[in-house]
Amino acid sequence: MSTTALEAEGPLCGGGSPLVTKLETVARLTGEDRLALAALCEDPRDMGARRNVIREGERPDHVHLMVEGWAARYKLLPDGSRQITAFLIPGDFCDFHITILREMDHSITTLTRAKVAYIPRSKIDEITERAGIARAFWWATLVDEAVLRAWIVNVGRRDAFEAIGHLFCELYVRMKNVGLTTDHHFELPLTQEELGDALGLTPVHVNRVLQRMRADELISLKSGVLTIHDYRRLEAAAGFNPNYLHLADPPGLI
Amino acid sequence: MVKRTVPRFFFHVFDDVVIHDDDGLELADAEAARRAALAGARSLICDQVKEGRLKLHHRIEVEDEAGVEILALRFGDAIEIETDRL
Repeated sequence: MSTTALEAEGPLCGGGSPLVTKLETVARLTGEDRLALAALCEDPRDMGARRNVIREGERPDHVHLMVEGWAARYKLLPDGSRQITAFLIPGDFCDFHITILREMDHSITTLTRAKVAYIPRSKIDEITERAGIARAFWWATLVDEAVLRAWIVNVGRRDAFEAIGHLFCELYVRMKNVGLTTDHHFELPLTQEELGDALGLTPVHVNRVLQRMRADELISLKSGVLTIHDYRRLEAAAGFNPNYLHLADPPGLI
Repeated sequence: MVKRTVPRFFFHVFDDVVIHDDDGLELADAEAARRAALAGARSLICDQVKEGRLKLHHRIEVEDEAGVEILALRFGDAIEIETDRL
């Protein structure tokens, strides 16, 4: 994918805007669209790791957009355990239409140090008057729902090995789409506990699967960097089909 | 960067294959490691039962950072088994 055109058009978030990188792989955006999108990433808040972006019960006044770093959507259970229902990476909206609702029914936390854009609803209303952008945002929203469906299948039907493999394939493809992979490795700053909270597994179980994947020479995970040594074999073992991410290659799907 | 002071424990799983844990998990203390091993054994047992088998002699050995074994947990000791047949 090319970000050259964008870099030429303005500094703003420039070629580094993950939102533009993500959307322009599928959407036909004009130069003005790109500028308007990049402007959304302007002036994000710097946040530390494991800080709440918004908590269950709070009123959502802003749409949150990940500019840098990782976050998670989660639900706390009465016994204090946590189910993670989404990992949010650069270019992901935490919840595009959330300001329509009166209060949050779940929480969002950063997992790493992060830059998060807090976008007022009025700005979203303004920018979605552009037809190309409105369509691109609908695409992003539908893909978020498709990812959630894939996670339900993962948690409900796959064993631990397949489920972790599936999640790794998905995160690889999503990170690649925003230009954050190099060859077959990328930053995966998740602890085994966080992986377990996403998949309904205990940390020891996650650990055991990771060690087995490593022994099988499928992956290695060291210092927060995941390397997939044999993507095709991992994809086959996990039953991963990237169709639900609705990526276009070549660009210009919608 | 603040130096991490949380201890790390290694969970070696001896089931159909021996999986040596080189990464470990950060946990508050040995008691937390014991609880993690117990929960881990129970969830590994669930995977076995779903496949229609249960190997109670499989085990998890937990080592601290010094390589000292602090726990060896047989899967059979991670659950209570009740049966009407003796």
